[in-house]
Amino acid sequence: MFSIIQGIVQVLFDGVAFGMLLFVMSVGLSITLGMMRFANLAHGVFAMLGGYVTATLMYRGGWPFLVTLPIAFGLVAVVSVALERFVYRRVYAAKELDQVLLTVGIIYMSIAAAAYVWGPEPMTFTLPDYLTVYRRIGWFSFSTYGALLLAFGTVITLAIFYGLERTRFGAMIRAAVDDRRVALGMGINVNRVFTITFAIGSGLAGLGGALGINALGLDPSFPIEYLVFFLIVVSIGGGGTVKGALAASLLLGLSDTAGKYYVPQTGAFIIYVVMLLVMLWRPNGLFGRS
Amino acid sequence: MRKLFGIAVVAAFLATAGIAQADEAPLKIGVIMTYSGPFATYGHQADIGIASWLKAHGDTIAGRKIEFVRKDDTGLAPDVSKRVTQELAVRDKVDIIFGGCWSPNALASAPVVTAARIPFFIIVAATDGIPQKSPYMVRVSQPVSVPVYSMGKWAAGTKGWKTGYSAVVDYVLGTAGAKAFRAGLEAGGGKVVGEVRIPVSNPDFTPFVERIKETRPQVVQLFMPAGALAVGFVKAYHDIGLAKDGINLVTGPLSETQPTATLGDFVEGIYTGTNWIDDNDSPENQAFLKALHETQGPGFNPGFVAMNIWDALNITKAAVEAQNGKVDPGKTMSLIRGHQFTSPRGPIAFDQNGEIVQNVYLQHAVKVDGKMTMKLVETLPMVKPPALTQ
Amino acid sequence: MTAETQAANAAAVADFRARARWQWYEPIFWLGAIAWYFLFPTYLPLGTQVLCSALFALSLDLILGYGGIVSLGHTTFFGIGAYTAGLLAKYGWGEPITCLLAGGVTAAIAGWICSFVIVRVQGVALLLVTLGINLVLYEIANKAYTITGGADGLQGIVFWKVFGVFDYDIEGRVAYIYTLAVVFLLFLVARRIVYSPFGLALKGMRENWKRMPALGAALRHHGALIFVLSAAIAGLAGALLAESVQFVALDSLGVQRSVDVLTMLIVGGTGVLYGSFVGATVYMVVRDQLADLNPAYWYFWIGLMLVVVVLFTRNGVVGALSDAAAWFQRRGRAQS
Repeated sequence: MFSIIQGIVQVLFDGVAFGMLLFVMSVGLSITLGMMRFANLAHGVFAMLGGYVTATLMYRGGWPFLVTLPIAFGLVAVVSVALERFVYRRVYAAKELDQVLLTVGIIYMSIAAAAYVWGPEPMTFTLPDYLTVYRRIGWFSFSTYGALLLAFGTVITLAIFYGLERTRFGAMIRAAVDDRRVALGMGINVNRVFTITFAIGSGLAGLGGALGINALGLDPSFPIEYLVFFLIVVSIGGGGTVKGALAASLLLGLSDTAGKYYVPQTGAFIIYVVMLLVMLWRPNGLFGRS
Repeated sequence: MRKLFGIAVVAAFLATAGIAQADEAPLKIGVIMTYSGPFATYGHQADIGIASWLKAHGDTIAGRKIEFVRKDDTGLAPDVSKRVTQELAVRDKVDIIFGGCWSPNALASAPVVTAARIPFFIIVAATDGIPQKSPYMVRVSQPVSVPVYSMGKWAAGTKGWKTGYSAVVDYVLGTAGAKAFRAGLEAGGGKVVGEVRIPVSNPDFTPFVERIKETRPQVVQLFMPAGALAVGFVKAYHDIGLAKDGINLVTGPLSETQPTATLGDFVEGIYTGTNWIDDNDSPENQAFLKALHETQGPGFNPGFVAMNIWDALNITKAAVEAQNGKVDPGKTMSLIRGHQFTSPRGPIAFDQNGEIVQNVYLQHAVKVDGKMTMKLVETLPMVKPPALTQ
Repeated sequence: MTAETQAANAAAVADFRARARWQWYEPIFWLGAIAWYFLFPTYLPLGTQVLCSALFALSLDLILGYGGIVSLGHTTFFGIGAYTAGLLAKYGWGEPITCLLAGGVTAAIAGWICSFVIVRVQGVALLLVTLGINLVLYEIANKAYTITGGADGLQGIVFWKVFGVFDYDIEGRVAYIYTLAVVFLLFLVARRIVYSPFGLALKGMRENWKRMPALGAALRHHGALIFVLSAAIAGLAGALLAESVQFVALDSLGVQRSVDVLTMLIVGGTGVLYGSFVGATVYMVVRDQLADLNPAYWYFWIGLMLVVVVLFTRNGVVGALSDAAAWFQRRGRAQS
């Protein structure tokens, strides 16, 4: 009995930490899809870039881990704006399929570029000692890294919700997602709002990639390895809803962790089946509008 | 025609590549490795091994200039592997092939090298029983079962740890690793009391380690690719205090780029079983390290793919020189199969099936004068792959 | 029947005939495929794999280019075909033509089962459902180690001689001719489908999902039918590749292959039949040559090719070619 409770607590802790990480990484994709109807499969490229920025600063420059995080965020945001301006903007009106192919092309290019710059090996990465400790409180043990993920995820999530619900800019974003044409008619510069939102969303992906470096690993094929996870989050959540993305991330994080803990032999089977069932039951996602 | 074809296609793209010079009958070696995608590190390491070997031995064997024809198998893709093997045989007419980055790839290439009669060195693939699929194959890598089975047998037989627990990576090789460990442990009179499959991407090892702690086996087998995963598991094993509960840990190498002892104090007490002690001071190993450091810089840590390529080239050199520069496929194989060579890892030999026979080194991480060292506990000499029932 | 309806029928029949007439470039294309055999005798294994991929891309074109169904998991059927042929050969029946047909039939059955689900979703959900089915099947094949060999692949496959006479040779001559013959026959079938009234209804369905029912077309029925046909051809392509490689591995069900085939089709051009052939040839030949020149970074150029095709062409290489042809025609007319 005791060990059952212990297992459940363990799964909850790890699952929520992983879910938070997924949410931070994929919320930008959800907004992009909602606002511009743009399926950016290359979203993982931003997360990868964030990871590499942090790894490089730490490994080559000897910077402290926590200091590299805002830099990862900022740098990725800047890069994403350039990409949005010069490439993505041209295909918002294009067919879904063209968007898919274009972003797949960008994934391929980024994989080769990352292999060129950082080498094809998985990045060797040593977290500072205070993050690789396993602590035990009574019968419950956890890693300080997991605790850090949980803490960061919670703070960022709260910040996102506050920003969206309580600020003027957040209201503009919501208006643009709800109905682009009406928002335009109300005098909102949707393109500008979107550029800023896109930058923040991509920056968050970069931050997530940097934070999650120890949990997710980092090598040039990162954008493909985690593509399925991002897609599941936005599709189950429904494009454009932050609440949906959060719920889907937590669901995915928990079901993935629980699956690994209780029935490791099924592998990724469980999450794929969950995704299929949700898609068939509600093609627009749990929180999506038709 | 080949040139025409190439020019027509490539003219549109700017790419840099060395154009092979037309020498008098160069010794052509085809290299099929994963040069792109997630596992491109294998191809990269193979190139390092080749560069180091050339640095140390020069670029001719028995008067023939060595020419490498590199092919990308793009990862786990047997159809591509089979096709490039065909191309190496038919178009490039290579004398020898180094390949087999993945077990399915090696298996798909086997019939081609049998038909084309080209000696084929398996450089990476680890599934048991691949070389016997072709009379022209020989393995310089390590079959999964060898170190794992010996460790199991040693743990139960020599150390008297009768209850074992397998923590293996959730991948097909992990299955094979768990099976070999079980067989070894049972051969030593022990029993496996639990098994856990750990997913390749895993944020936290606590749940798995906690479960092992509850079960209280005498020995845990860790079977994972060297790198962050294996290191993370050992950290959790240390921090949660399994060693204090009398739970021992046997594993392969923890890191591909760093000697185990330098990883940190958390490795104290673990046992490793490997086919190569990367800092041993045999002349062969020192020669290998010297060449490696000359080409890659002094701080460079060796990886096993580079060493396997190094061995393959040494064996090639011996076999080709024995034939005065010719490469007769049958003769070459008879010069390799059933013979012994020296390698940076120690003596290696090949049985009549082309399977490698090599030492397994068991080391124990202990503190000597406050410094973590890997103490050699036992050398299991010339271990053959065990006959495991499928 | 009145004279008017008779005349209208005759006009419609004439219209179909005109559409289905062979164009001047079509024989050139197939003669080129035969010429490959003589011109590039050391590139036959590549040629064989190009043909298999082209057939696979053609099957995707049937649902995507003609039916408007975007699939991110079409390799589901390719893999089923490959495993069917492989398993038959492994357990003692290696006759190539029956194995091939068996691959097509099982893939068609799988396609029929999936079609119930596919026709009910659209847009991003459709992408995910097709991807999801693919992923689930991949996991099943991965775990069913005793049947499929898991990640080690299906071992011990032996296919018999084609027609009991021609053995698969190392230069790949027999495999090339056999594959070319099969692909040509299946191309004729696909061509027939596309230029039939059914094919026209499909095009209408792609152009305007809402209006077609008003014309009396049974959308779901048409969608399901083309999906089954497409699955069958994908399965045949998979079986064909399994026969020429004599090995089946997990990657024949891998998502990468789905993305690759989609890429080939888009690079070539959708909805124009030859797009799949042009795309597969360009993609695989360029990849092969780049991989020889620059094994580590060829992905970059493939990616760039995709981006360029999406940003600067209307419908892949075939689209660009026909645009160029039209432009020259206009110019010619303006000058004369």
